[in-house]
Amino acid sequence: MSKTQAIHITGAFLSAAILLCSPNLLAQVSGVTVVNNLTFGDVFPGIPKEVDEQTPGRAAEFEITGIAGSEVTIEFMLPTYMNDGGYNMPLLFRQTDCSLDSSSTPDQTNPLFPDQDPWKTITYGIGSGGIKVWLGGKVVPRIQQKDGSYSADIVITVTYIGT
Amino acid sequence: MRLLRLFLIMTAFLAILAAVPPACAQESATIQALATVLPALSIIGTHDLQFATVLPGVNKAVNKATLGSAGEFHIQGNNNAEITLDFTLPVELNHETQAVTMIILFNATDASYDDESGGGQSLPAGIIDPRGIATLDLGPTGQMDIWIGGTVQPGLTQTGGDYSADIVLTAAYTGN
Repeated sequence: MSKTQAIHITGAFLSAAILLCSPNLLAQVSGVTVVNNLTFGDVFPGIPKEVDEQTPGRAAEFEITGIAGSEVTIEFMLPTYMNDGGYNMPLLFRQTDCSLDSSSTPDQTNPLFPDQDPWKTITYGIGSGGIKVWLGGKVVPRIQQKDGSYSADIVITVTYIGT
Repeated sequence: MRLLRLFLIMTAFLAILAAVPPACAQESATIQALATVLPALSIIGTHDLQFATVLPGVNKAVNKATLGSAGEFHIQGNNNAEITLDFTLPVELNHETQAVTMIILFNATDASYDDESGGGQSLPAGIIDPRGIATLDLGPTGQMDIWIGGTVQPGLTQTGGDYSADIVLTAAYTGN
């Protein structure tokens, strides 16, 4: 192989590598935006409180943006406790606590893709308006739960998988 | 020959390219789950229901409004929170040393409460039936006092001595 051919072949490899990492591909998922925290408000000791994923302003809400038609996986890292200093409070997520809607007019109270399991990977397509994701949950304060402001992180990871 | 070698190299490259998983773009975001836990309820028995000296064959009642004799509880919780009150009432008092008992009765008006809106034990905010569950709101600073009276019925041949029994008041938030 001549030096020129080697350069051409190397160039082809580089082009392919660049193609693999091209911004067009990486931009299939252009962002995940937090719209609302999962907000339980006031909780009485000994009385569990649930926030339904279809409750606007209370349920957690994310917005995924990207190229319409692209398929993504959505994974949650869910906490099992909320914390306030050295105190904790159980936090539960059911297998139907997540809903999604990729329509151009997403409706939290009547989503296109309701009752999804946030403990499992969810595969869904980005719509013209992106994807709206809602998540509910339930806190179970103990009878002698220490009063205070409790919090926990919920992490959502969205991965473009093509198609 | 050179073209063939180039063709083979490119074919191999394309094969590798096909085998490479698609590039993945990944985004993460974090939200918080937030809750404010309100103060737990505390309830304290602050005064026993005292019948003092009782004569055999003579019923004796203690009015809920009688200071120093009526039973009294104090509840502290969250401001204006709704709670339930549930008495566990004895049906008889037990002799301190002997296996004998004395009947105790409670009627529908034998308990009262003050949710900070009344005038205390002698002028409470309202009356409750201690034989059932009551649902009430704590006062603006989360307090409530409860008083209870009752009647003992000693028999004509009631054995002398001290008698006692537990009166239990259970308070719980309703969540409202």
